[in-house]
Amino acid sequence: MLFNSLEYLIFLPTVFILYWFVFNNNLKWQNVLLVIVSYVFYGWWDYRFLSLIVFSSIVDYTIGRSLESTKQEGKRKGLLILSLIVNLGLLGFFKYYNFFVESFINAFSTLGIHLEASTLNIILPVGISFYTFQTLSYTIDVYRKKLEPTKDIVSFFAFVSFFPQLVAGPIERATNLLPQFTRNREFDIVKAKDGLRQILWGLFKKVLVADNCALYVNEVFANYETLPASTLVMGVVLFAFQIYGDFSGYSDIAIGTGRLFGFSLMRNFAYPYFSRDIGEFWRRWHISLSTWFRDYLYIPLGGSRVTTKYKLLRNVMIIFLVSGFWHGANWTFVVWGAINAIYFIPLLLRGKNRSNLNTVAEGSLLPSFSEFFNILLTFTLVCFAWIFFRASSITEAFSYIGHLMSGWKGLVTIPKLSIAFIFVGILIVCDWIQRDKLHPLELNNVPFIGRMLIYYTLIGLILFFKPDEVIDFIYFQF
Amino acid sequence: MKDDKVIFLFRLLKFALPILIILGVINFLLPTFPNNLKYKKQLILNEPNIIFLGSSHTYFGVNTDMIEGAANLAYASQSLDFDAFIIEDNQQSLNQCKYIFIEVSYHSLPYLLKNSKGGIEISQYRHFWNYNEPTGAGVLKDHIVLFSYGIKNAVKIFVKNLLLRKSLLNTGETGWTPRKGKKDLVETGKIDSKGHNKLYLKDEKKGYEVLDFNIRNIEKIISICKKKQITAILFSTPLTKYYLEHLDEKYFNKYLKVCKTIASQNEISFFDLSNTAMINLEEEHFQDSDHLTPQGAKIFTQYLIDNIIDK
Repeated sequence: MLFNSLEYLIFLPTVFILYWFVFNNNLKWQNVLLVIVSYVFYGWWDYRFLSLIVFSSIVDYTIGRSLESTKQEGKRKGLLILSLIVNLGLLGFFKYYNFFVESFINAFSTLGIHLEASTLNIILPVGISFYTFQTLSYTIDVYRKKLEPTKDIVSFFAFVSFFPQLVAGPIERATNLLPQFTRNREFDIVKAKDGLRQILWGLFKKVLVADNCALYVNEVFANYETLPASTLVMGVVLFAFQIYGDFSGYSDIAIGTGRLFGFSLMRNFAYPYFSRDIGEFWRRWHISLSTWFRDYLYIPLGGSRVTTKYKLLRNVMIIFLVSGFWHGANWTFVVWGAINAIYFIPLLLRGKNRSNLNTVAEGSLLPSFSEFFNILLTFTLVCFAWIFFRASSITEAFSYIGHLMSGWKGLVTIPKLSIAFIFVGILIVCDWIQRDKLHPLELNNVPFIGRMLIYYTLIGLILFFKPDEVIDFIYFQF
Repeated sequence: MKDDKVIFLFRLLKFALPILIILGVINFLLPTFPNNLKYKKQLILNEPNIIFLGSSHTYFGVNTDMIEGAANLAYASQSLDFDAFIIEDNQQSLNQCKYIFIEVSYHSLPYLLKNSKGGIEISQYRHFWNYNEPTGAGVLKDHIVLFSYGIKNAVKIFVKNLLLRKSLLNTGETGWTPRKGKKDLVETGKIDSKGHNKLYLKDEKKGYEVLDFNIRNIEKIISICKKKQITAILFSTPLTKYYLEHLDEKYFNKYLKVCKTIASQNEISFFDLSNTAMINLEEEHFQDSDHLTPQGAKIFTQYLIDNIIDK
């Protein structure tokens, strides 16, 4: 079920009423309801995928309980490895099996050895990368004794399948989300109202920014060989906003929905395109994934507290490559990760990777010249890497870059205009003005009439400028 | 003290009420506005003698005002499944009918309205012609005009009709509509023909699923014609050389073969009228590479009268 669909418009209020008005006084029944509606939400794509999520939940619940009762370190480690094998095995099979088979065949054929191997007709279950990482965080934290394993199976199932963030995150830590299922939740009108505002802003980003950009971007990437370089530049820039609008819009809707039900989900985006260097960008982009890899991969590898520079570089490289590969079974994502590592390493070596921790241009209306220059430079670097993320193959990415470099016939080639530019402009302005807030619709200082005007205008724009084509959330494929 | 949840819901409803009222009014008024497809439904109920079916080629290209008792039931983007539906669903209005002209242009065979951006037209067929999609469009879409049109389109139509006073009914008395404006023939020839080639390419990958479906649609119309003792005629409309030169030869031959086979198997006539020379049409008679201007439509219709209807 898509957040921006008619079905969800009926689903959400129905669940809200059942949750707060029918099962309000019973935590257990509220959790049962959340499991059922989450499975309905997920099964709307394909009910067969439900078996995977149920299986994954049973495995990790059982392993969690076993970890509690097992004292021997060897056995505990064995249980952890079992959980890793099952979860990563499922992910690997459904997401990467065909990729590895094809890559092996291609690698051998370049050596003149022709292998015969068949790929499988596998459908990638929606959001498998997200919920796999979420359940893994539970087992790892229980193993590390950072978290008490839950005995409440319903809460655990609800934690794994919680519908707002099930298919595209934020990837929650068990330490943050699971306890919220085991304690009574009170309805908070302030949080609920703010949740609705965040949902509205998320819809604006998804429907108006991302989907309108998608129409332009799809056309540019499909016909890049015949288009002028200026249009190719606009294609990449709009893709940067498409993916930002799409993914951060989804996160906003997820977080806002969570707040309606009394949950507090972690922040996933913090105005990443205002970053002054690539280190800051990665602290502001897909925060739940970056911190996941930091906590469960980078730090166990030694993080930055290693004895040699070689190990430090190795750790950074691993983290970026794995992060890239997490996004999809294609070399393009690996290259995208590698490019970001290359951007990041010089900062790390100079000890400047954490030099921009505050809000940009704090207390001023506009950034200084150097801040503006750094933002622009970082954005340009990020956009260059997005070419690999968007292209269907490495060859296509290089070909796109080739046309982008060589297609300047003077500077008079005006890129084709699109309504998307207007919405991107609105997004940039609103994000900039509200960059110290959790989301731009935190408008407590604006008078009531002004707020209403903004809400109705946004709703009107969404209804009127929604593209006719239904465009899936990009991150569902991951 | 009132419960916060109740206050929240009450405020939310209060906030949503103006939007719901506006959408409700639009939903109620939308079906009352006149439009071309609604008008065409009336045309067939008047029991015409000659019916023209087809896409925009016929809609703009056959001036039925020149033929007594004729109705142009073609429409922009109308695909063969809708042609078949119109005839099948209105058999009771075919008692006076003598000829049914079925346009089968190059693009018609692998084309379906539902695969193009024809959402609003499908909604209009649904609401004004009682068309039910074989696949089922969903309860909400079937019964609530606002959802089947799409809110954006619904608001646009509402604003056009009510505020700007621009009627959506622009078709002539007999269903023919003059095509306005002029486009570059060379440019449109290239773009349109390539787009139509792509339809074949796409369908070929699916084992000619759509093409076979459309053959069945044509045969459905022919069998009703036989039952009602109506002469069915397959025809194609004139095309410029700029369009023809970009057509994929393989697919064009396939198209011609299919048309000729249907005609011979059902013992009806197929007139390939894509060649402009025999109809005395010049470039100035084309609005774009495959649509006629009003003057072009006049010449083409006269040709149909002289060479097919009167004979």
